[in-house]
Amino acid sequence: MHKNALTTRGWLLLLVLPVIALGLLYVLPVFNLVRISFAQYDPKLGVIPDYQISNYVALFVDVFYFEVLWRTIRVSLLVTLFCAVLGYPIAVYLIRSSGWRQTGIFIVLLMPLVTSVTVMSYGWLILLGRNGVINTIASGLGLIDVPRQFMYNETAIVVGLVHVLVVFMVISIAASLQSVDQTWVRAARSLGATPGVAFRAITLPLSLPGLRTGALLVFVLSMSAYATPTLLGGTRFKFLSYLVYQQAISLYNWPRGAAMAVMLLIATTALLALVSIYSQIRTIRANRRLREAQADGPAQVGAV
Amino acid sequence: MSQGCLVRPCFRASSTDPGETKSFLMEYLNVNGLEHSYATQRVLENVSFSINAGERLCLLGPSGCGKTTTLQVLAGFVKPDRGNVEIKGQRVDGMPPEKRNIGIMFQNYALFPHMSVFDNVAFGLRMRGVAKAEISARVMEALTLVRLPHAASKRPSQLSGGEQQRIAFSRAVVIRPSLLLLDEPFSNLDARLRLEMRTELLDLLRTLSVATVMVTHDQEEAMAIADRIAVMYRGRIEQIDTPDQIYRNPASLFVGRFIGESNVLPATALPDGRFQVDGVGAITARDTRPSRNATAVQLMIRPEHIELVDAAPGGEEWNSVEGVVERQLFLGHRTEWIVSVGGLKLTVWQSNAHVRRQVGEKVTLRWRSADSIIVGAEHANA
Repeated sequence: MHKNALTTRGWLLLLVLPVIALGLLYVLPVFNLVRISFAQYDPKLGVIPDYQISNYVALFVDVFYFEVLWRTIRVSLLVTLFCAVLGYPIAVYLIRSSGWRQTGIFIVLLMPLVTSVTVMSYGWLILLGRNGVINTIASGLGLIDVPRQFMYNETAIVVGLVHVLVVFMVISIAASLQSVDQTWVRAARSLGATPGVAFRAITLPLSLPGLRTGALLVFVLSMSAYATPTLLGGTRFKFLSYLVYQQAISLYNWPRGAAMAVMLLIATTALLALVSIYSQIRTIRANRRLREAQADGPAQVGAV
Repeated sequence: MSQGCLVRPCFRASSTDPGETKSFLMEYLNVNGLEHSYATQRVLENVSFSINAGERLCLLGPSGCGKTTTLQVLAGFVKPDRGNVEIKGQRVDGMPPEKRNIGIMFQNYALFPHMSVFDNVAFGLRMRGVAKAEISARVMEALTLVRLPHAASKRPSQLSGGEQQRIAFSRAVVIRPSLLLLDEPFSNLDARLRLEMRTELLDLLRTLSVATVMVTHDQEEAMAIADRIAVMYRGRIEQIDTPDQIYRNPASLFVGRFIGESNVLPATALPDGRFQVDGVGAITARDTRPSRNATAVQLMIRPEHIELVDAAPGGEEWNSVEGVVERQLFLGHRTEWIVSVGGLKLTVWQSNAHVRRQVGEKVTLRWRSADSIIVGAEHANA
């Protein structure tokens, strides 16, 4: 159709390099990981290529492991939710501002990504710690009698991860908000929609793809986060990535660590698949409703 | 029969409300003394006009003349610094856009991309809480009106430009607006479709007889669609009149130049009522100026009113001058000559001319006195 459109062969040629790169750098290591997860470990002999499902069986009967897996999922969902709720207004503000103000917001948002996690955790310690700013102010105002511990719990993990990851949400939402033409909003207003209704009917649904992409990025990054939860969650509140590290690096139990990593991968993929299936079903239902509405539309015109 | 409720909503309303009959004769839309500035730039200066029920007014002018701002003020998207807007005797200038019941067809149509055509047209009715069955009926009726009932389940992106425009129109009128605003309705269509849609839109507007304000920079569109045209320039209305009057009796030099082609010659008023054009001679002309104090004036002649003749004609009603052909352009439906007369260059058009002249040939030009119009000097601020 287009003069400069690539032929099918051209497209296939273009795909060769990425396929090789992905195969070598991604598929092969993951395949290897899955293979090792079925192997056995002996403290004296190391990894034994005797493939059984014993590692998985051991995980399924381990209550502590499930507690950590559930915490990882729950905290990641919370982080995603908070990123969405905080990120949306920031994205709206970002696209409405320009020049230095826009640059300023970007710098503030990107700061956590260029700061070392250790430095950031100490930052939060200064704010949230037992002798931190918040405790000092709160007790100074007489709101609390004894200093509270805000650090080393799940709340601290959520705060820290939202801090680091909200930028991914903001950028994806801002990108899709940018494509929402303001004349659509004006058209909705002229047809009787208040600013709030116009936002719900026009701006929000049209920016949902960005919200979805942002949520996906934040959730995946949060599920696999290691440093932030380890530093802010303290000794009691572990993330699954820490258990994997412990098994593979501290205990040299590669097969057990691999099995945990595979479970993390499956849990993440399964959750994403569920969300995707749910939204597919909703789209199909909406389309069916639309067809039905139109099927009886003309009939009613005839009856009038 | 199924179109009964959309077509001619004004008449239908007047039959149920006896008070409506009286207001039907009154001015329907009143715009009084709009003033507006963006930062330091004045974009509207004392813009006032009114239209009758069912009347089509076109705001015409070059870009930056204030026509779009006027439309935004009517729609409620821009709050003017001064002035007010009344619809059917009711002030609307304090109202937000959603309360005004004004249908707008946007320049880019602004169809909601995530909704079907049906949902687009139904949007305004849903906002008004119309019952579900009535929504389907009215949407299908509005789609039938623009001959696109089969497009109901399509997405706007699946439609051609002309179809999108028709959907935008039915979305704007399905709410039975008290005023319809059309913003550059044809600017996004290609030349051929533009002509087609112009006729179609005019037919639709006549059928609905809804009070309409249209904004355009294209004089042909304005003349084809409008009952009256308001020519705007630098934030002011230069002239507001029927297309015919605007063309024949331009109130200012700007209007004369902007609408159609014209030869403009600087002239001086003579005591005998004639006008002296340097290098050409004394000319008889029609003086349309409101005040005749100034002696330095501009004399305007349309190219199609000038004839190329062999001999000077007799009679009081004719002006005639001698000139030399500088250029001859055969354009098919007409021939254009540039004739040099005493250092001035006059453009002359003749339709179906089989006369050919040589460049450098001496010719006589003539035109009726009534076709040379005195329009006064250009604005002091122009």
